[in-house]
Amino acid sequence: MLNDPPSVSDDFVEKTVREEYAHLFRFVVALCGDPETAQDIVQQTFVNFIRHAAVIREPDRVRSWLFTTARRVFLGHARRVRRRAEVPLHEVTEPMPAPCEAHRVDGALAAAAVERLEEDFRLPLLMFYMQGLRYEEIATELAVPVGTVMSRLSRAKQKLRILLGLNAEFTPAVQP
Amino acid sequence: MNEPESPLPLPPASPCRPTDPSRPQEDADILAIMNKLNETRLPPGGLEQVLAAVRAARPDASAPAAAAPSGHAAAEKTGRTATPSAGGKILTMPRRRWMAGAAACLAAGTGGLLWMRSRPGSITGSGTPSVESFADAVCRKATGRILLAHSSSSVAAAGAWLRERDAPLSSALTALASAKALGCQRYLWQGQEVSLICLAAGGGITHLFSVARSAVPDILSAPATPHPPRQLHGLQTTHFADAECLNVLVGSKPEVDVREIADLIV
Repeated sequence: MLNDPPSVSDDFVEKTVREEYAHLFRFVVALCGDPETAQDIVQQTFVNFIRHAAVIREPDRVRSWLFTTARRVFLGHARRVRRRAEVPLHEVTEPMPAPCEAHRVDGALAAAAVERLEEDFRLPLLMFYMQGLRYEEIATELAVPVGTVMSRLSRAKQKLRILLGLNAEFTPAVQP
Repeated sequence: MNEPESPLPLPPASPCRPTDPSRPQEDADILAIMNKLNETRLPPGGLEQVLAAVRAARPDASAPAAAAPSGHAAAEKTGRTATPSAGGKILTMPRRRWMAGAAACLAAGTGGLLWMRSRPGSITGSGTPSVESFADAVCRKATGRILLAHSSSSVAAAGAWLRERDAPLSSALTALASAKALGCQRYLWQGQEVSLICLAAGGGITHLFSVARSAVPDILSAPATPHPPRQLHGLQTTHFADAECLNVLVGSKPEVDVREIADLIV
């Protein structure tokens, strides 16, 4: 626990950026599907972090705070995109590539499939698997009941399997 | 720098929880897929860019982080709103002025919203604008997500939509009349407007980015017809200048062959 007065060193901020940048970037790029937008969102998140680092009392909350803030910045960006009535290019083009097995799915294909999930399904999926939150924590963050989180997660997984043409019973031999 | 030790030690990195016993076994395939997302390539120089932004945004060392609670306490007593100023002094504002300020903010916000709706997105770029830097910037843009402001299967209709908005328009569009369009978009690059028309061609999607000739000082170095394509950011690309614009053709994926469109222009 911190004692007053709250002060954060330059070194600490830079150390946080260096340690968390990669995790945060990959989380955000999975959320928004665009590396350039993800970079902007991550940058904004760390700039916000400077302003709030001194009042994040529990050390364990730093990563959680960064992920939550990045998600909120992303949601703001997504709202602006919707206001402009823009359509993702993939929505007017052909469907996903042919079905495949989990061990053949590469990062790009996985990212493309996740991006195609509706926001209501994509968010809990990424919060569960990439941010490592539990059902209850996701429910609190998204202000929905735990049951809703569970059903959205279940449907997100189902949709992901369909998008990638995966057999639900298939146990993958993950390539290193 | 004489700073105390980091007050907030970081938790160990663990983007996924593959060993969590609460994770059901049938999730193994999903877990494998999600772990693939952790292989996403980081943008070159991305970390350095964030570090530079963070250094630039660092508040003054004397910023009064502890002033806010006392300011709020003062506000509770006086019935006025309070904000800590840069020097730590608490500024008070009568409620009527606060309401006037809020109304002004609302008006500004509404105006801003309308402006945001019509504002083109941006294409990252820095340094002196040139043929090469434009090609580099739009190829990098093509590696990411493209959002269409207008969907249309007709090149002429996409061109008309762009023309209505005074976006730069390639004079080569007439040669592309037979191609199937998907839609179009406008961007800003180095303060200059850029238009994009997405075409279903080359075994996928071929993008045509155009910027006015006047935006590129070395426009005379650009060929009048597309040269054989090259690879840039892992995508096939070629460029050419016409009477109005510098144009770049780039595939949406490495396997997309931009020659199908380039051959129509030659």
